[in-house]
Amino acid sequence: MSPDGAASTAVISLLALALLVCGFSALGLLVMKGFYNKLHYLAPPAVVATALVALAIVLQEGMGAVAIKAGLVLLVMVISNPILTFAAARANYLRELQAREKTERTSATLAPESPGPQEEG
Amino acid sequence: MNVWLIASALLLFCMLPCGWVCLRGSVMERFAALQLSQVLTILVLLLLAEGYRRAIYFDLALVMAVLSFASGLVYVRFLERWL
Repeated sequence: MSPDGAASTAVISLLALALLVCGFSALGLLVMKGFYNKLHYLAPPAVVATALVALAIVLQEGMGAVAIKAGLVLLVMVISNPILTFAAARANYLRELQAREKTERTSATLAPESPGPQEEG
Repeated sequence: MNVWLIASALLLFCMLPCGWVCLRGSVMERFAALQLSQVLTILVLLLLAEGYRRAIYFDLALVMAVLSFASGLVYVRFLERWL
């Protein structure tokens, strides 16, 4: 770790940008209606904000053990976020499908039987 | 108090909308809010590690990133099948 704790203007700008991205995404999660719309707001903090914070750490500390660890965190986030988003969307789709099939089965069971051919005469 | 600690404190406020969605949303919306709060927690841990100037604290963020991926997959599998 570098001995001085003073941050440069570039580091402060990167951190402010990361905070802005996180705040925007948190508000998007709150405001948007529906699961699929909310799901879009997971990516910016996981990829953009983490990259900005990792870059700020590299600028502050230089290339060393700390920078490598921050890069590893970024790598894990970049790999895991799309997989989790896909898995969550698939889970929601399967849940909706199961609910629809259950409703159809219930309505088919409760529907009155169709009357048979009536006799004339 | 330095700029890293201030940024981590400000980032904690971003978890308030996640908490609200966890309280009021549907099951899958709660999962999305949980995932976002996990990402924010990882960022807060990174910022705190740099703010306190301890290299070993970065391992905590790394472990949290890996574990949040695994826990998310397990949780979403559970939501998909049983809940």
